[in-house]
Amino acid sequence: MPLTRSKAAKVKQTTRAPAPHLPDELWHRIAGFLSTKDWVGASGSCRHLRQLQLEHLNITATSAHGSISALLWLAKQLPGARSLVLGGWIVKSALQQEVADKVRIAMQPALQSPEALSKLSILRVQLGPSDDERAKRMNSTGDLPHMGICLGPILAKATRLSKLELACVSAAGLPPLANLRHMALHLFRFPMSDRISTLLQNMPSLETLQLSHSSASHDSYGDHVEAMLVVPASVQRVELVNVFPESLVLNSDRTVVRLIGAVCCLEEALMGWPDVRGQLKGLRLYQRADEIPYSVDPMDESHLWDHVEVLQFMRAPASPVDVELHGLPVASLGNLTSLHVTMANLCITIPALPGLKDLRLDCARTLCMSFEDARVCAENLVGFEFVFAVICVDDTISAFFATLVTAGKPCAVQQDAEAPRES
Amino acid sequence: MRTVILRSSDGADHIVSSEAASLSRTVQSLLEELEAKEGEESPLIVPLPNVCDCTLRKVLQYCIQHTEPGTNLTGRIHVSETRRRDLEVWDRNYMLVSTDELYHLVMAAHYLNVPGLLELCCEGIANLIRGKSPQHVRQHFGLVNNFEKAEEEDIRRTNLWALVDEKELAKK
Repeated sequence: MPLTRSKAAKVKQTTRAPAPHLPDELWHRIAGFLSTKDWVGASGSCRHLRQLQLEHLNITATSAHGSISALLWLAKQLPGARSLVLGGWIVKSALQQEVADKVRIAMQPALQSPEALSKLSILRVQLGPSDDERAKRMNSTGDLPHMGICLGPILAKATRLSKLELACVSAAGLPPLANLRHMALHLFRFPMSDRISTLLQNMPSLETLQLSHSSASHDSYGDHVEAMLVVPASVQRVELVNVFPESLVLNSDRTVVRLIGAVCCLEEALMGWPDVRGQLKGLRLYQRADEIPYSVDPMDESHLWDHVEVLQFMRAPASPVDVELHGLPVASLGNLTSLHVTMANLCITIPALPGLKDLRLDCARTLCMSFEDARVCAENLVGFEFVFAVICVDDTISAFFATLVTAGKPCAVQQDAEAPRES
Repeated sequence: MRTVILRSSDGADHIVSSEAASLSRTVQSLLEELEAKEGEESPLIVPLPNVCDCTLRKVLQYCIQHTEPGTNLTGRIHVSETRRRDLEVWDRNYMLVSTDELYHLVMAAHYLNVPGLLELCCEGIANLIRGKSPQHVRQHFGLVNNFEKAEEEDIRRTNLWALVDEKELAKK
């Protein structure tokens, strides 16, 4: 096609003649390949696209002004939304009260409509800054900024909501959600349990519950302790991340518990929850830099991780601790199916457990590994991964790999090229 | 393998294998009806009144390519990684068409119900839209600016967050 000289002529040549509009179903599919932001840009081209109700919305606004504009747009889309993700909203600090009021006024007409949020089943919201940003702010001002928009009226309208992920300053204002099945709450402020227990009693359909808190601002167990947490009988899985209620009550013996936190905090917390031990199936431990390195004492009668199915030892950031797990075979780990360890230096004896199927060891430096019974381990493991800079080889390792080869099982050992090499 | 004649809206006949034709769920169900009526011996002619010769030719290129060994009936790959990569390259080249052709192709894929082609076309259109201004989208897709002045003012307020850089907005 020959290029024309004038801009006007060029536009004329490349413009398509108006064609019958694509069906809405196709526009929905097309929107599915675009970010919400890109779609909003396109929707300003004609009335039909502007009125199209998207089912999946993901809006991240990082400035107060952007938030107002985005919420005004969102208000028009609420009736058709099935899933909604809101991130980066900072609209209710003391300095931005005026902005918060504007937002409330903008959302009010949409929320008064009987159709608003009638289809919404998934809601993921982060109100306030990310953990990193929050830590920076706390360092600079010494105070936690009060942030978040009032979610109560919005959630009260979402009668079909089945999944809620919420990161905010506190759970204040959460209404009863009769159809909610999965809830993940990440709260920036303690305590949370008192209010949460009351809230949970009004969620009869809840199946999975995750409560988490950033550990950055808490130094010891005392800072983490909260009041009683009562988990309703409907809940099948509970995961607590850096959350240690003084008392944990499970109303069903079928509820499975998974805990994530610092070793010292978990040890103290579990002493207060003797009835929970039988339902504790997963444990992810990390150790702070000021703690004594892990070790399994063969003389100890019980350990924090006794009877768990999934056990993970993680290296906390900026904590180059070592771990000594040669005593693992004496621990009560008969139910163990999965063992993951990520450390700088690791000394470990892999216990001979028939149920242990998944083993992952990731060492930035030296891995000193042996097997309680190389043949049993090699025969039972389904997946394993060893990453290290230096490995101390003993006879049991040779026997382990020899059994693997005999059994025709694939095996791969990776020496981490990025890790510092030692002689 | 049985051959099928697909007849376009302008009367052009295309002979294809029933396997390639069956990538279109619309054609597949028509074939089932025809087979029940006319038995397995007589030639099967499927009229497609909503697809012109030129577009049907292009759709059939896709169907034939995606029914070659190494693909299943829905056009999804279930064998080698190499074959998958080859098809991705082929698909990319296949989509090098004008906006006008793309418009007719997506409409045909929708009518004929060819899931893989429909996804490919919708992704192609999304790529044309991504990061473009409303004026550009209108120009590309022949859309008419039918907003009233009050609506335009409303769009300026509500779409602002998506059209300008947030940092610049904060400075203002």
